[in-house]
Amino acid sequence: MSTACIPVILSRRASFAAGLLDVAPILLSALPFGIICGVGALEAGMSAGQALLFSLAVFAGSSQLIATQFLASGAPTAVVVLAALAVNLRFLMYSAAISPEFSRRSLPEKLGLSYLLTDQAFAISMRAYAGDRSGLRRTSYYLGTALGLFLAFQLGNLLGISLGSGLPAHWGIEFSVPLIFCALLTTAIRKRSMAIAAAVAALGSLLLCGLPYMLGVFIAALLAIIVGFLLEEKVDAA
Amino acid sequence: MQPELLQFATVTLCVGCGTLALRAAFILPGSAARLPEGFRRALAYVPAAVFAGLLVASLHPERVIHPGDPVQLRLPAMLLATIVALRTKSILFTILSGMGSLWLLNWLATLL
Repeated sequence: MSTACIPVILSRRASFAAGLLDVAPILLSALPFGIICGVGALEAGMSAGQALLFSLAVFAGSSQLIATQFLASGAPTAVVVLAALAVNLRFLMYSAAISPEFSRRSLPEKLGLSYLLTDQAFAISMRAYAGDRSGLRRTSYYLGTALGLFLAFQLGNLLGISLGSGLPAHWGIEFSVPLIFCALLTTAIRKRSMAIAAAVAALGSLLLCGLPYMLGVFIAALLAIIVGFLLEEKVDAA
Repeated sequence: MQPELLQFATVTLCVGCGTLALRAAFILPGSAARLPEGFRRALAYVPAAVFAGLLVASLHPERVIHPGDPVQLRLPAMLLATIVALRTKSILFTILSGMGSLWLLNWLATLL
């Protein structure tokens, strides 16, 4: 995937390029994800300008999809905001784990680095930091991964906004939304208790699908988190 | 201001700022800040729980129970895509397999 032999200290540019190279295979997924988010924003009633602004302001695909799903269902503003932010709570964990790497950066730099923090940029950077790639300039490497993802996702979003209203209805492009949630779910399940939590959430969501504003998803997810948390030690130790 | 525009502005501002605040929560103050252990463990379940709930909701289970609804064709397509997702962990391959099988099933349905 990338260079096996690395000199003692790489230049900023080489570290940036190493990050970009490592994230390249994932960009193929970020692009269609962006397209679906762009299409979803238009289907939720946003104008092209609003969809672009929304994507730039949030830059978190799953959260954007969730917000547009709730907006399309006619949910009140508070419910849309809470649902979109709930799934982003995981960024707290990433922020805590990666913060020592950026501790010597200035405040504006830290803000910029924070804005670019995503699942993939975090995972790839932490893997590189934990490995034997001591020659990397860590912030530059992170920027290579994070900026690559940002550009691919926003380019996809632009494509989705451009294509959105022109896509034939019989293509059923809205089916790609559950498909993306399915792919994200398979990467989110890392142990048995998480699989149980996912099953509880799925069953709860099915049983509560009649509730307005997708409130059933909220309740089911909350119940699933509690179940997973309580079963963690018992199930994962077995 | 129109209600739709007001809702868009509020959602964009709150979700945008809220997301940035979550991302920056520990990066801005530096490495001294730490999450409480119990809270950190509970947070780890958020993605799996939310994605599973949304996956089911976005399949429109309330429509699947009506015989003849074209939404029903999505279930076998989703099953195939789930197998691909489990094996590849790839968003791209999951979308390609799911959409491809849905289009194939739709085409086969027109032949019957």
